[in-house]
Amino acid sequence: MATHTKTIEYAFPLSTSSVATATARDFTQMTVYIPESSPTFKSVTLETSFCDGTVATGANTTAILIGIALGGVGRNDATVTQTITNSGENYSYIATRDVTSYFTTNWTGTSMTSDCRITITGITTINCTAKLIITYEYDSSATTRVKTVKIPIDGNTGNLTTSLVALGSSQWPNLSTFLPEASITYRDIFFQMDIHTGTTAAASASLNMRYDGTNTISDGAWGHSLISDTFYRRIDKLLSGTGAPSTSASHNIEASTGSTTAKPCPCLNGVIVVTYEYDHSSSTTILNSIQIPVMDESGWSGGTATGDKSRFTREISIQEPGTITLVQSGIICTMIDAGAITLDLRMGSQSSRTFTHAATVRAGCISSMRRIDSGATGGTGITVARGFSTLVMDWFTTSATAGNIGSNMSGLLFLNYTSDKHSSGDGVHAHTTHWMIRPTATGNLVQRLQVAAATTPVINETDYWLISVGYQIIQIPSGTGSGNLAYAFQCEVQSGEAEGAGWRPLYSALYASDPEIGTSLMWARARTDFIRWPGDPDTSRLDIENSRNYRFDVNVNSSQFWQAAMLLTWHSITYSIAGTIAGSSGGSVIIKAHLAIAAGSIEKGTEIANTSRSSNGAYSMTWYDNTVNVFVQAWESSTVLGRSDDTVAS
Amino acid sequence: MATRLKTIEYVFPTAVTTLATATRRDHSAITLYIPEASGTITFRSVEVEVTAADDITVAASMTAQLIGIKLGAVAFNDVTVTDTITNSGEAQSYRFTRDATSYFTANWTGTSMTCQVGVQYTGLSTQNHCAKLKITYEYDDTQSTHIKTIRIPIESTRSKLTTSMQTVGGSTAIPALTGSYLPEGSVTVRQIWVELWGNEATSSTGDFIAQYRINGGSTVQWWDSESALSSPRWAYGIGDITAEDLSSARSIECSVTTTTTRMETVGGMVCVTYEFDPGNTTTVFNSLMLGAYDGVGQVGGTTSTEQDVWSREIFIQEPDTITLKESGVCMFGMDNASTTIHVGVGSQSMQSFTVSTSTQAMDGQWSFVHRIDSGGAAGSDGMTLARGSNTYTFKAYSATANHGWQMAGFIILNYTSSLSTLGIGAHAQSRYHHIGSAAADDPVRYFTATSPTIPESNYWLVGAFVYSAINMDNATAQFVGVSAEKGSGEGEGDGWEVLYAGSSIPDNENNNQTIYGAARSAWKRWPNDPDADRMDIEISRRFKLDLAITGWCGGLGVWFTYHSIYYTIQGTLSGWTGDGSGYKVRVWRTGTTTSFDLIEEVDTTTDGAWSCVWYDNVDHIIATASYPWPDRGVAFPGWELIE
Repeated sequence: MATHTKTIEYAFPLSTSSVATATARDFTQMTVYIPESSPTFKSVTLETSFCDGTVATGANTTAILIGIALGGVGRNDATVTQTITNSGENYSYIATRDVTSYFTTNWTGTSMTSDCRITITGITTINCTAKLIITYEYDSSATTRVKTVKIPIDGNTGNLTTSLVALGSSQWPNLSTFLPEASITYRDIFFQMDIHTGTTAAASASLNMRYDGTNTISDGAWGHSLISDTFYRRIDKLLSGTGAPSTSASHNIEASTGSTTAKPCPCLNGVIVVTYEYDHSSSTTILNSIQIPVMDESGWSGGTATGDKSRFTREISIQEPGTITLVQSGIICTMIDAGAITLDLRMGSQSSRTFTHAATVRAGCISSMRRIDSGATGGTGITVARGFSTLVMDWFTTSATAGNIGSNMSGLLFLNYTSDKHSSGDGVHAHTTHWMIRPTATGNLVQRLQVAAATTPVINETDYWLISVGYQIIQIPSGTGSGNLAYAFQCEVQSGEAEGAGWRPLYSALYASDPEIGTSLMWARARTDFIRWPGDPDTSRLDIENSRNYRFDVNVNSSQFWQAAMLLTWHSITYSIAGTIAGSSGGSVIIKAHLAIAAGSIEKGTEIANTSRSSNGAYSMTWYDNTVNVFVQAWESSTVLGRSDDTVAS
Repeated sequence: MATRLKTIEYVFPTAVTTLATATRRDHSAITLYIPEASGTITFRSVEVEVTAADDITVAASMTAQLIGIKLGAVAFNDVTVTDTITNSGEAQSYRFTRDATSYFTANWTGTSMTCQVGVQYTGLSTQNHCAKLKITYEYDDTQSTHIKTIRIPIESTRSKLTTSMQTVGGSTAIPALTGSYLPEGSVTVRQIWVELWGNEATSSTGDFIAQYRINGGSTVQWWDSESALSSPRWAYGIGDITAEDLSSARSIECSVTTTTTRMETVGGMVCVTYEFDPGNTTTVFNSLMLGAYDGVGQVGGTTSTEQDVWSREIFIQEPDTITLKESGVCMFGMDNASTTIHVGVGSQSMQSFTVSTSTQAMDGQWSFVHRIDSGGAAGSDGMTLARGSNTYTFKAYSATANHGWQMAGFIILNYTSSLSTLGIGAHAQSRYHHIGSAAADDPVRYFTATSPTIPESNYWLVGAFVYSAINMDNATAQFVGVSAEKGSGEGEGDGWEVLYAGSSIPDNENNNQTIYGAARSAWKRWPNDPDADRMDIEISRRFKLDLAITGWCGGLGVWFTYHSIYYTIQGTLSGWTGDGSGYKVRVWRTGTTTSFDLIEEVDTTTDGAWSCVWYDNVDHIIATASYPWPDRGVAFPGWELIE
């Protein structure tokens, strides 16, 4: 028996009604299933969103109430009283609440109903979402398990029209074959869109979606009277009911708009989120679904032509057994600018794909999404196999004029691949977990806001490989003083690690846009800042399990609001570097293992493990890969020493 | 004979008198000496850097700037950039650069030439003109006479200048440069100057002139402030003190005329360019410039518990006893209100500098110089220098919340050592490479591909920081980013590596800034550095400057510091089969408790022979190689081994 950690998600149905200020909005009840017995909740986030449905003048949000209920337990409400000053635009907001302690106190059994209420004071709201992001520890003896996978699509490359058009072809996979585990029971299916409205004129309009080829699902008609290009989160819950696609066939995802000027939703995209139970014991093939922040550009986006492009790369260690097969995967990236943006984005050897975001008054970030698997328009963007695989991301925008270049570019990879099940169970497979750093809270950011992290990651396994440490950051400016800013997100360096004190920059970026209110989603890579495995010899890296403070600097005197969560991905698949010391003089033998060639971000020759023993006999060290050659050096004295052949761990 | 690379500097001291719009000023001629030119020299980078301030009572915009260079009897060569820097209603100061490498290559003859720099600014009257030449060239190190430039920090004042003289940097800030201070043999001083800088701290109208005197002597004006627009600018001046009696350590004092309580945190450096006889030298003064700090946001914090901590390793390889000499950190930042910056290095007690004290809108950066040796106000050394690895740890916080934006700067690190058997040219030295010149404004500017040239095959890059002078348009939020384009085989293999990213909250006025990007992990440390993420500093590449708002880049360059002191590691593998070639030998450095770091991989040649070079003889070294199975491997006795 071992204890592992996972994160699953459940979404409440989209609430489309228009609700007046200070009036409660109760989402339709849903059921949350956690089949593993006695989960220990480590970080539970209730992530909500709301759109400002004001029709005349921009209004301020002055308070946000978020309530949670499980089963028959009374709803627990928490109100954050904080004025977010409108700049005279329509806007939307993502508001999160840490409900870990509520779950710890009130969860019983393997399923419970759940309710959610939000009450927004100051504005009329419309088209609201809520989802639970549940990180918990569980006992690996559980036979029935639940998991959440996220399946991205090739996003649209321009505006919607008033007629439904398919986004690519059959991008909704046949889940009955896509999900390889045994005895699947679907517990939630939803399509999450983090997009922008692209508004250039006022009109009442809905975004219409169709997933089953028959029934159109529309959100609430929204006046867009302030003509603001608003960041917009929409979640369509599609587990059952009218419009839900069958799980036994693939489907087109179709979209249209009620107005090509009020709500063209440029480059519409989304991710299919499926939460399902399966029989772990009977499963032989596993879908591994991880999310990795992979790009975070500091200045303007690179270039006006391919020769000036930006390039980021990401190495990914895949250690699950058997054949590794890349399935529907992709990247969402967000950025911002005051003017029109034409983004050329490609991964690996893909052909160019251009995403056009027209000029308007920007009230939040814009997003683009591109697949990287064999079904992607433009070809496969990455080859994955056991061992270390590298994702290469190139992009540029087509103007060098301020207001058309694009800034604050960052992105999140949704990587899905199938493998055999590891002999220790799929709990040791690569998985992404969500840890709340700062929820919506009282206290705005004027130049700096420093907080203690709401949660600190706990990794149960003694031996683990951190595939990724990154952050989701939600940022919204207040008022009109926020046109050209710079962000700096930092974490505290603790005693005993790296410099032993001070602060480590995790994300720094130019944010150049219209000086308007609007939500931005950002992802920080923190690629080189945290240890990769216990015993990482790079002493400049930070310990992932240390509690620490975080601070966010924005060079503006007007208020800013930020929230953050850590996205932590690891596996705990281990191998042994073992052998036998012979020829010792009987003294203490120092034994060190090294990489024979570079592996991902680890330099050739790096010491990866060490041990010692007295005299002759066996030694063994733990390592996290069996595809890259390693070797061992042993030293007892200047004349008694030796070295192994290059070989892989076993 | 070895070909070496160095950078020397000469200056044209500040002329405070007014220069009318569209009128040319040709600085008085100075003589440049390059004694190594008795042999063959190759100019690699020559930059002219000019600084000026407007002299206006009504806001006016600069529409064009000209920089001319003249050697001997050769005609002036002028470069004009026409672009309007729209005034925000305040006075401001300016810094621009131009490349003069090809001019020097075409026109330099002999071992000395007279030189002039000319400037002309259109659109407004200017004053406080000064200029500096940064001359980087390759030379034959067998030449009997060499020349060098060293810098000695002058710690900044803590109180503003008044009409009474105030000692700056302690009672003897200027060493006995023509006495016994310079340790090399047969020294001939060619130019000594002081560079002084600080913010005007102008809080109201009332003109003033900043002046200095050496050892209580005659006063020299280094900054004339026309303060009709009440604009606290960053002030910078150069004074030539070659003619002063510096046979003993001397004081430097500063004051202002007419209007008292102006000019905050005045400090700077004294520099000397001097010839010497390397054949008659046993002790060497090593003078380096390295990146000192570059924060991404604000320093912030109000107590030491919130302080930022920033560190770097500095490897020293010159022989024998290493003695820390006058050293310091020169810091620059942007704020819109007063704060006190507390700084310290290593175990130094925190020292404070109060900056941005003007009650008017700030029109330029703040700055201060803090000594990191025991001769400064802290009274203790911030680091203990020795051969091998040394750790520099910089700590800082602001006494006022949300201040200390865009702080960045450089270290002046001075130490003496014995002379390397490889010659003084192998010692650690800082060289400058001009990347790009002043040009029209653009939010994103790409600089034509270029790279430093390092003539030695074997070198250790101690550090390299990018430097840019920027004349920024007005805004209440600013961002500056500097990136270098990555080449094939360097990390991502394409795209851009961030060398500097900083942001600030200035007042909504034009301002001038100097930024310094330490880029501690951007460059390969030695030619065969196995860290594949690092870039090769010798590969030609483009650079990119990102600004959040319109700004005029006065120029971009890189100070890179390396030594080429190296040691041969060699051995012979036994027990081989065949002809003994082709066996992989791996060389590692290690301490007694730290991990092994692979530093070189070489193949054996015939009969198992192998060799490589390494750049340190302090850390322990171990070499390993693989025999065919079953012998498994061996480490070579005779080298330092772990204990």
